[in-house]
Parts: sequence; C-alpha cells; structure tokens
Amino acid sequence: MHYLPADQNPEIKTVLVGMSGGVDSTAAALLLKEAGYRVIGVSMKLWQAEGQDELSSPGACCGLDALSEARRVSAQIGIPFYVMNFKESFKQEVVDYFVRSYSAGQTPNPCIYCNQKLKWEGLLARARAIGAAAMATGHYAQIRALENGRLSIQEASYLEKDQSYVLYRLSQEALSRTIFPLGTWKKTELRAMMEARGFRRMAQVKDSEDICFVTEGSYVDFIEEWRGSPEKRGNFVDLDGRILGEHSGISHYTVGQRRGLGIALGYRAYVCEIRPETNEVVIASHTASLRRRFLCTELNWMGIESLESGREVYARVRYNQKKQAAYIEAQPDGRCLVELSQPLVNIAPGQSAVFYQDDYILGGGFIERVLD
Amino acid sequence: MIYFDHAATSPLCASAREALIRWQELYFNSSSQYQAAMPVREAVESARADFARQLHSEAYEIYFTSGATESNNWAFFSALHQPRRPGKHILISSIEHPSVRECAFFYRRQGFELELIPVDTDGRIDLDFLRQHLRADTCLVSIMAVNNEVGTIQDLEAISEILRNSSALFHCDAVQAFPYIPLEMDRLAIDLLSLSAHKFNGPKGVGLLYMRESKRRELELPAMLYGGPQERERRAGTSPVPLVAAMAAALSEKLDKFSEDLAHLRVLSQALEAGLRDRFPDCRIHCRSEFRHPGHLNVSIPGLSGETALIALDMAGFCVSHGSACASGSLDPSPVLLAMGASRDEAQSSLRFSFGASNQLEEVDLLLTELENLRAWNL
Repeated sequence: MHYLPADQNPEIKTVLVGMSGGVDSTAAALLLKEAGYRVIGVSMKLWQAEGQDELSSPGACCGLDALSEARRVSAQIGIPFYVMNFKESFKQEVVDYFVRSYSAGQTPNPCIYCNQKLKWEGLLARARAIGAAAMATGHYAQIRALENGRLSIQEASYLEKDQSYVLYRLSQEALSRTIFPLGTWKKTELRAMMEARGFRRMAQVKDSEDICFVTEGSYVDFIEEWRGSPEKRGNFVDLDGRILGEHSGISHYTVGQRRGLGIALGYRAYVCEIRPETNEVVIASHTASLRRRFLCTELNWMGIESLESGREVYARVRYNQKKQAAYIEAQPDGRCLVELSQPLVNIAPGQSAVFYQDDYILGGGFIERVLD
Repeated sequence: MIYFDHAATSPLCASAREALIRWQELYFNSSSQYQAAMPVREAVESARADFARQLHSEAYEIYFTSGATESNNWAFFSALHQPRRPGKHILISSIEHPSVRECAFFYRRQGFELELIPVDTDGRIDLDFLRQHLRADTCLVSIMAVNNEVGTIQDLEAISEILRNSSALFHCDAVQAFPYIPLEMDRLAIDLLSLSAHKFNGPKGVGLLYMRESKRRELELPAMLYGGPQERERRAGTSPVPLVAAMAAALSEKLDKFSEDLAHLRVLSQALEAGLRDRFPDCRIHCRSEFRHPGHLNVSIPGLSGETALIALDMAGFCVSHGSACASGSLDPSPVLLAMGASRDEAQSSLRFSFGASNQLEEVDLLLTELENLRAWNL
C-alpha cells in the first residue's frame, strides 16, 4: 500500500486544526489558511473534574480561558471554530489507563495514549463527519514519505522542540490525513512571525507541560481519589531482598528515581524496580541499577510494515532523552526485544521505547519488562 | 443564513430598535426631579403598566431587572431569605433552565433540602409527586411555564390548584412562554414570575420579575440590590430606560400580530414534524405536539450526533442548537432529555429547532434536505 502525505494529496481541501489557544496551534491554522486550505478550528474538551464548574477545573489545554483564547484567535484568523466534547472517551481511554498503569507499578505516559486514541483516531473520525478530509496540529514534527511507500514521522528540524516521541503510535491511515505545518519552524522565529502578524496576546502563552488533568495536588492524590482507595505503604528492599525502610505506596515512584525516597543508605540510591505483586520498591546504587535489555509489547510499526528479524536502530526510552544506538529483535510471540548500546537506570515499564532509523520513526512499543 | 434558534435569542424588532435609539438620545435619569426627566420616568412607568396589563397584575408588582437570570436568582433570594420562611425545603422540576437549577444547587450546598419533581416522557411534571412532596416547611416551588430545550408546556392551572393554599412561594420561569401562553396572575397561583425581553424580539439586558404584592407585604420579601429608590427600593440602580422602553415596544409589536404569528409558528412546526417523521421514521421527537409550544421542536435522529450535526448545519448556513452547552461551548448530553427518560445516545444526538415569525416554510424544506444529506454522509 502506497500512502500519499496529506499535504501532497490534491483531494484534501478542508483541514480541521486542533487548537489549544496557544501560539503553536494558532500558527498552524494561520499557515494552512494562507496555503489555501479551508480551515476549521476545533478545540477538544477533554477534561472537567467531576462536580466542578469549568473555571474551577482548568485542564492544561482545555480550560475555560484557553478555549476562549482559541475562539478569539480563530476569529482573528477568520476561520470557524468549534469545541468538541471528548470528555467521556478521555476518561475511558486516558484517565483510566493512567490510574491502572500506576497501580500496576508502571510509569504511564498519558500523552501518547491521548494522541493515538483521541487527538488522532477520535478527532479524525469527527473531522470526516463534518467534511474535513485531514487534520493538522501545532506539533513540531514532520511527515516523511519513505521509498517503501510508507509514511513516517521525522524529527523536527529544531530538535529542542521535537515531539516525535509522543506521536509514534499513529497509524498509516492517520498519518496520510495529517499535516504538521510547524515541522520546519524554529519556535523563536515562529513567535516572532506571530507577533509581527498581530497575534501579540497569545504569543506569550506558556508552553504546556505536566499531566493536564492533574491540576490540584499531586498525581498520587489524583490516583487515590479516582480509584477510591489509598496507596498502600510497603517496603523498600535491596536487590537481595533486605528491608531498607518503608515506602509510601508504589504509585509515588518511577524506575530511575533518585529524589524523594526519604531514606539514607550512605550511597546514591535509585529506584531500580517496582514489584506490584509484593508491593515492594527495589533500591540499588547507580551501578547496580543499570539495565540494557528489555521487552516491548503493543508495537506500532511506522517506517516498516513489521519487524521480521533483528535490526540496528536508534532508540529513545523516555521523552526528551537522547537517542542511542540499540539492537531490536522480533520475538516469536510478537514482542520485541531491545538491547541498548549504553545501559540506563531509568528504563521504566509503562513508558514507551521509540525506534528511529536516522531521523525518522521506525516504530515503537510499551516497555513491558526489563530483563538485565 | 437560516435562523432556527429563536429560543436562544430573537432578532430585535423594528419598534424596539426605534425605542432604543429614541430613549438613548433622551438621556435623563428617570429618578431626577426636574421636568426634563419626566418623559423618561413616564416611559418606564408606562412600560410597567403594559406588562402589568398583559400579566393581569398591578403595575407595582412588576420589577424590571437585567433579564431572566437575574429574575430567577432574585426569586430564589427573596423566597429563601424572607424573614418568615417556613422551612428549608425547595421543590423544582427536573427540567428547569440552568438559571433556576444552578440556583437551587447553590442553596442545597448552603444547607437547603432540594427535591426535583420528576417529569414524564413529554416533560410534564408529575402532579401527584408535587402534591405528595409539598410540605409545611416548603418555602419555594419553581416550575417553568415552557421548557427551553423541548418546548413542553406545563399545566399551570393544575399546578396552581395544588399550590394555592400552600405556604410555599410559587416561582415560574416563563421566559419561553411569553407572550403566546396565557399568564394571568389573577387566575394562577404564581407568586414570582420571570420574563426576558430578548426572547420576544426585544433587546438583550432587560427583563422583569413579577412579585405578588400581597405576598411581598405579608412575607416582607427582601430587595435584590440595595442602594437607590428605583423599582420601589427593591432593585437599586439607574433604570435602563432605553431597554425598558424597547421591551415594551417589542411587546406591543408582538401583540399587534399575535394571532397570525401564532398560526404561522404552528404551520412551521407541523411542517417540520411531518417532514422529520417522513424522512427519518426512526427519529424521536421529544414532547408530543399537543403539549409543545409551537415555536419549539427537539429531535434525536439516530446516527447523527448533535455535535456533528450542529457544526455541519452551521457550515451549511443553518443556526440551530443542541440545548445544553457548557461555558466553553462543549456540548454535553442534555440533563433535560435525560430527565425525560431519553437514553444517553438520544440526549447526545438531539437537535433543537426554535422558530420565529420571520421563518419561512421553504426554510423548513431546506433544513430537511440538509439533514437528509448529512445523515447519508454520516452512515
């Protein structure tokens, strides 16, 4: 199957742009309108805390003020603007997964799931229902048509803003209906361009970060409330099983964590493993925490149709982490074995490993189990 | 553009527009004592008399407000802060407008006991429930005359019979009913009634609260805003003379064409209902026509989400609504439809069409065709 990138597809004339009220998505909408597309601005209402009004429940990207800003800039650009309600599916697809994953001793990345399930599958379906054949966002990433006929995401030209990691789960179908107008832009230049064009107010909006639906207290408070049960205290143990102290519940920790452990061992201690079945958190020195090999599951292949055998790649196991050389190998059960060239202390089950060929994505999957 | 959202707001009529400009130019403060201000004060008082006549009440029972939301809030405030309040029990219908519902929820958080009167699938309240749950300590019963989302007309006579000898105050949000549904205060047991000008082709920002004088005096119902002699010292603030005069002008223009407009609304509504049943035999029209205000029609069409339909209709030039939007504009399943027993899917897929006298029959045909295209596209 040969996929045509959306920005080269002559049949795509109407594009839905996901707008957050921030400078990036506004610029994306503006650039597409100027490129001659019929543009429809849409904000997704993803989150509103139970029993709270919208003002008291500000999600990072769908709070009342952000959406009102998105509506205003849409008027300024001269495009229609609508808010689409995704609250139900956000709860089911993202929040439930987030809580389940932490409760199982993993470290989830809700943005990756949200991108796949809501910002692409969900929004593309609704785009089509209102007559838009493609969608666009303000992500700093590029879509590249490969010689094998597939589409992949290529890192942004300016790596400090690259967001390819959180987009690795997009399907070929989704990529063929996606435009990233900012892939070749430098953020500082984009801000300057937008200011020069009269988008002053919003040019100052801060970049969003953190877990958008945890707006009060810590994410652990949130998990406890959502689940309706408090975190269970348990033991810190060393690799030999000796009890080192008491931890405040496994959701508080992630593999590779060094700060906030609350125990003094005379050496720099790292969380090296979380064992949900025994409610234990394993602590070890830096050297003893280093790991190189792990198994991935629920793989999504992008630059290749599937992984047949072994392959040299570059891999990233956390957002904002440097790529490093790795060897990946298909397993008979469909999983993928990854061996990094340099060991790391923070390979956490629940996070995603994303594999690159040069600067584009080959595929990736969820880290299921760290081996050694 | 074809406008089928008159329940949200209606276009300003010519005489209201004229009055707005005229009284804006005559800038005097209606409370001033010099002669120049006399016509201004008279404009307000004659408007008050017009509404009193229409409601079969006395002029001093009419208090001008900034609109129905304020009137509804005032109704709650006066009933629940009266010095002789019989207790802390409130009854409201389960399909009230948010400006009533959210007031009730606020007072519930303050320690009042709130009960919601259930409705049937047409949205008509359960009169037996009201009879059985009305208590000696009930201080307020709030039931709207016509529902804003589905158009259900409540049986105000029957409700009045139940409430007539109760110590509870009866508040009625009559925004959607006026002026087509008779609201005669000398026959009904309504103590507090809210109206809004912009729903009957008047300007935005003005409305009124009718307050039964005998109850006001007996129960010493409190003021809403302090700080001036306006509105019998019950709602202070310089009178918005142009708005009040324009509201009265809108009423007068409405009454001039009352019968023909009402007949026209019926024709439009029947045409839309027949067309929907013909082209979408599986559709569900919420509230049967015999209980429905002729200006309203709310329908769920399987396979067509309210949100998608609203956007697609907008892009095709039709202004319609879904009924329930939150502050940001995101559409939620309508609590009104859920209370009427609709499924979540139906509540999610509903579309509200509301007509005005300016709508044409051909516009209904265009709408039906567009809906048909839309569903074909979405299936």
